[in-house]
Amino acid sequence: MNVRSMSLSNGMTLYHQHLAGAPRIALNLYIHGGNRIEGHPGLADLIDGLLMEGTSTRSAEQIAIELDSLSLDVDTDTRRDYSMMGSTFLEEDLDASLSLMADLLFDSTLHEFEKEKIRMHGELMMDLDSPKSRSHDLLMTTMFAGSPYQASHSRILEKLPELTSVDPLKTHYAAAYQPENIHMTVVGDCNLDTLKNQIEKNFNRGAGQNYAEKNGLDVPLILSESQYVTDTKDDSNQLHVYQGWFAPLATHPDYPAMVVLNCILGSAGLTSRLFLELRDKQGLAYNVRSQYETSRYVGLFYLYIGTEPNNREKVLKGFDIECQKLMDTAVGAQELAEAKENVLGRRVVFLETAPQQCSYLGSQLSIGVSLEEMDALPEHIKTVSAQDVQRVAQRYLSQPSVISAVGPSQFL
Amino acid sequence: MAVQTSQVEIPYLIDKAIHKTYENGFQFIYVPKKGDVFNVSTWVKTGSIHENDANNGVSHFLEHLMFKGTERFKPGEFDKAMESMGAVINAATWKDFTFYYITGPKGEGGKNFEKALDMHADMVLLSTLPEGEIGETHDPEDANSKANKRERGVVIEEIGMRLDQPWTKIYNALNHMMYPVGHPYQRDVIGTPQIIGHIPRQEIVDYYQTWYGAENLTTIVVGDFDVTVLEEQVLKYFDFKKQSRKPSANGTSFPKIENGHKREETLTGDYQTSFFIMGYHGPDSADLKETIALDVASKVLGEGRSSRLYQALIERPKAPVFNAISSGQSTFKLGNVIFIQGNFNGSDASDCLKRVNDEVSDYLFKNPITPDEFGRAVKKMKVDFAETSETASGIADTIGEAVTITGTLDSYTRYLEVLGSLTLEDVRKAAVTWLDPRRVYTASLLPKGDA
Repeated sequence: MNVRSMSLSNGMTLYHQHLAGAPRIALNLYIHGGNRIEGHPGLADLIDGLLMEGTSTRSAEQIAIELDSLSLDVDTDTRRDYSMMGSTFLEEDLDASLSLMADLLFDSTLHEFEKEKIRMHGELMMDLDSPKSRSHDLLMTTMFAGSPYQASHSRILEKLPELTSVDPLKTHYAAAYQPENIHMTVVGDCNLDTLKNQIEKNFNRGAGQNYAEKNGLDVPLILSESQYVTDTKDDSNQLHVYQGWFAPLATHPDYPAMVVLNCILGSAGLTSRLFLELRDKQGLAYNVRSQYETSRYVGLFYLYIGTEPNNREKVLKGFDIECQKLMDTAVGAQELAEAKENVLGRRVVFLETAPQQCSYLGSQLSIGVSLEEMDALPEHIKTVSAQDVQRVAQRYLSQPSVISAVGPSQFL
Repeated sequence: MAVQTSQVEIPYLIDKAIHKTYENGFQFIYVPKKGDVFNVSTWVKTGSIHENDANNGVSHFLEHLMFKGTERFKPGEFDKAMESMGAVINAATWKDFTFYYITGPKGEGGKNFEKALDMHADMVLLSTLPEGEIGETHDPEDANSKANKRERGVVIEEIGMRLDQPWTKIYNALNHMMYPVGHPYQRDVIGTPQIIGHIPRQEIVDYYQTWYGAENLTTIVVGDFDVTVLEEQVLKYFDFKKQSRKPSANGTSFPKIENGHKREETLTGDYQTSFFIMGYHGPDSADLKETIALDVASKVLGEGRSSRLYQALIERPKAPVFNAISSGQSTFKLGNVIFIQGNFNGSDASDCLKRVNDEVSDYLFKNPITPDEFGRAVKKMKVDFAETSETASGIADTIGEAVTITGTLDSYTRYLEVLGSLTLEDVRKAAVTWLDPRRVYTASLLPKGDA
């Protein structure tokens, strides 16, 4: 990556990467803190929705029409450590797009609070009508219980009625949505000087102070014992099973080895061990995989399988056997080399466009990964040894885990 | 030797694409695109359109089995070779087509591409479909079956997974109403557990040898290559003389699509919210002007936050009952379909569906699309179209679908030209013609006990 960073006069940090020939510019704003600092589960997500619902000079309908007129795609989202406003637009619309986005970001009225609560409630209920989503939600609810990262869908639904006033949202908005607490990533085929001038002009607000970084997580999250949690969905055709562990952060020395382990065990498309054993050989599933995701203060590694409900014991045993193999036996040289090539090659494929590069850059910075660390990652991946993979398997997969299962009651 | 060669302007790309058709009917399209990523895909002109009640799902099952090896490469070797270079490999089956693709990093000096092309061509033309990989026939309802299920088991699990998705349930119910008995579009592309559990290997082999001949294949390469070298490589690896073939089935006829008697279907299940989908038969996909005019009409009606439906049903109400609402057009060889789909709280389907229908009627007859809405929609569609040109896979997918469904590249290469030539009146007329409230089919899925 060839990223330039600079501090703007308003206190915001800009990261820019030039991508020649990109038809659209991608520009994302990252508001530090996210679910971690929201205080009440779902509060930051409510603000995400309200940012599109009106400013002191624009109604929701005007905003929607203006976005279309500019061909400006804007979406908002909150993750564990940040809220994000992402956008793509044509260079010809740069000035107008920045003007509108600055208005949405800094001048929201938060007026439609009650309506947004109703809307969020409906959207979350709709999502939880999928048994797979419900099982994932159960995993997250259990693993993050009692931590600041507890904004799972069901937890938000449970706590939403207690949010009876817009005041806590206003307090959070005033504290977090200020330039010093925001960084911006831009990728596209645009002139940096023009870009910088336009941003300075449109995002000309008082700097405020860095709010989120005062609210870290001092104590690492741990599971004291393994748990098996279930939810019933009697007309489900499959049993949806997740198994999750806490895992190293993206800034931890174990991170590259964990990335390679994830590829070997379950994230490589058609060649991972879980895929070959549970799908190819045993025909137990269509969808079986592992995922490794990191936040600023917590890493999470989990396995998923959707299977015929009778297969519960077989798939849990399959998970166990494959994890145990990684702990007991160092991976072979060829498998290791292929996994590393897979990880490195996919970085190229999945960072092809401006929006992809912009999101990667911004989200990594938001969870505390520096530009230097991002640049160094490919080399670190290359140096991962079989012993490193075995060591991280032993260190993390031997810890207590949470298994969640959703399906017909008699099979749980 | 190619019997037909054309150079084609590709929107948002500098260099022209090359489109060749050879004597045996095989088509090859090369789209030059700078960058570190290549995509190679082969599109087959078959899908569930060529199935019947007895073999429904065979196209999709075959697609899975194509990854199970050839004489040269044993099962898993292709997957391993491609994924160890970081490539993304997969395939998809739909009503009118099946396609196989590799998206990968070119690697130093483009070293990865030729290997990918070689293995891809070998897979498409010369898959051996081994019995041991297919799995033993069995009764999927027999929980005590000791059969070695292999890929049959995988596909049966995929069917179960799809049926756990509420949108799939109502989409299938809609197709049952929109198409007559015996029409291929009435069936779910993936088939049923019973068919997949029992279909013999020979029937799959016969299907493969019937439909995977040169005249039904189009191979698309997107990336940065020397076109002369590339064509030599493509012709070298796509050596159709090595194929075992059955005569291609010609003159397939389909039951006529007529207005069905049944227009509403209500399902119930263990859900907290209600799902619905409405469908209207649309224009011929080869009618570019009418298809794109209807795309504009759909954009204004139900795509995005400024759309009529979103504003009326979600944005303006103080306490919205709807959680989601959208519209869109799908192109099919045997006629497009316009969908409106959504989700709402509670189970008062008659009231909610009436509100959707009222909004559509208002859009058609009382407050038709305005010049402002028309202008915004056209601009937005141009930018959305630019998005498809950002990735090698986006370009290949759009071209592949165009050439396989409509028989030409026009719906991709002439899209911007036709979009730019449309008038407000064209769009109004298309909306009134195809969104006729008397011709809508509706499938709903409501919470059990409330319906």
